[in-house]
Amino acid sequence: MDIPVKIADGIAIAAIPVDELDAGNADEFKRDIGPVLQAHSKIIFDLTRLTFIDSSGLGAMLSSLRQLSARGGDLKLCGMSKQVRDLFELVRMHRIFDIYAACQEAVKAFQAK
Amino acid sequence: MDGAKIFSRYLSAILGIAAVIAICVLLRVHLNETAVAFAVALVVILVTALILALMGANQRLRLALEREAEIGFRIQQMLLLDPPPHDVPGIKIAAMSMPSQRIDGDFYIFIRHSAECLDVIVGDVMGKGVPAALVGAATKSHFLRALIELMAASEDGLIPQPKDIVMTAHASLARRLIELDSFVTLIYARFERRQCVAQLVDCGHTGMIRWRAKTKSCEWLRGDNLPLGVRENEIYEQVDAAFDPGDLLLFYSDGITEARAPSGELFGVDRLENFISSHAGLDPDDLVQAIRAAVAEFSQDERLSDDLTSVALRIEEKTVPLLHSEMEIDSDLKNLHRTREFVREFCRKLPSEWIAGECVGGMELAVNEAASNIMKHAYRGRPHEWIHLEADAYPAEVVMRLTHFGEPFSPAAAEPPRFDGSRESGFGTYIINKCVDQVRYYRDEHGRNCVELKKFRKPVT
Repeated sequence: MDIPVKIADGIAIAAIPVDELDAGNADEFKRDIGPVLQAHSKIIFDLTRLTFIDSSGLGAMLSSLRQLSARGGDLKLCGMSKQVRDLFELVRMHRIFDIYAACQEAVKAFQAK
Repeated sequence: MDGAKIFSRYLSAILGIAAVIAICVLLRVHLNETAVAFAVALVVILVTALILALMGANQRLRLALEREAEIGFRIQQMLLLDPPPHDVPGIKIAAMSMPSQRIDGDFYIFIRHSAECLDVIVGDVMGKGVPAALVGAATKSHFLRALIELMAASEDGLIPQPKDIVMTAHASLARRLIELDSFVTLIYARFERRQCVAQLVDCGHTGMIRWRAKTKSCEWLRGDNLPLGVRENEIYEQVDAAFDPGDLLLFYSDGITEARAPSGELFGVDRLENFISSHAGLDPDDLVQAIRAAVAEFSQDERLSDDLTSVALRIEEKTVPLLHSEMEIDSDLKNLHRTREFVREFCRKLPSEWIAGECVGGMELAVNEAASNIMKHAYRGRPHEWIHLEADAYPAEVVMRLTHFGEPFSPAAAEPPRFDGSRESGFGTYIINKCVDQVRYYRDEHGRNCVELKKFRKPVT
């Protein structure tokens, strides 16, 4: 999948280009986000377009977080819909990820450091 | 070598020696002590050898018979005793059969014509052992053939009446049973769930016991038809009986009522009736096991003299579904979005406020995870396998069922998820359990694996 990345102030904002991230496209996402994870250390996933995510999609997010953390980088999430947020809370991943409602807040959080 | 041959050979040897001794005595041949002692010793040795050889032959025979009986028992369980269907809406069914000599002619058949119409046939062939089982198997196939022939001939598409099915099956069976000197007692019961009516054709069987929820007491339903194989042109008559939700119905073989205590007392119909009345709250599965335990305790004998068979049904409050929908997909992960659309579409068709918004989202996620598990694990990623999805809405609950031919899932084998972010997988089962109120993994009567997800309806304020 083609993942558009905007870079501002050393922070990479990757907009997830699909409405639904499930077991059918999670592997594709993991593959295509790989280069982005390699190239930057401050990354924000903009989930504004995402209306549905399942355990596989969640696993792909976790995989991204762990890859980035292993290299000393950091990942933040923003623009979550209610349904997506509900799943994160159901499996307690809202404690593992930094989640912001608006993407501007995520950018500010990176700049504040 | 069988016992008879061994016996005759040794006996000839012993008689031969005895004859020699007799001749010697008659001819007054002087036998010195050594010779006599020798002859006696020889006889003793031969007798001992004979006994040991007979015992060995008996042992081998016994083992061979046991092995054959074991095979016969398994054949009976697989072919004569249908597993009762588990997902008939509104009816819970359980069945149990314990043959007395490892195999006999008891059989039961379950035929589901539709969600509302179920046929139950319970039969008992006179006699025991493999011959009775063979007659049972033949009887079963004659009934199925009669059903097929009558359905094919039906002009208006209606399901043939039980009495017609029995008469058609009997027409082809009767002569053969008479020639074999065998007969079959049988009860054919059709349950019409929507009209709450049972149609019974009782062919010399023990009848049916009904525990009525309204009166909290037992009643008997019997017909007076002859068993099959007694009179060739017998007309079989049908009896109608109404039932209500909460009622418990029991078919049983006379092995139960004719079981004897060590004192000689019979278990009897009264005791069975009282037992059912006092255990009427049990699930059918537990009831049939409890009956078996009660008979075993009563007769104080693990080895039964006659076979025990019982089939129990409970009519449940559940009515026919308000809404039903189904779909089939290939096990390709790209089809997951179709399962979600299916759930959303189904819930959209329900009356507004039937199921709260976030419950729909939860159900959608649960079905998605269940389907994903089937595709990835049950079918190991093979994309062209069959998955069937079914949705039913009842007054008290919404049920989603996924059926597949892949490997069954064992919830106990699933590792618990890790919430510290250290593992990417393992959330699927946890999510399912959290999003719906009840999850059941089972095998249906066709041998297919099923995942059933239930969400109970809470009254919306």
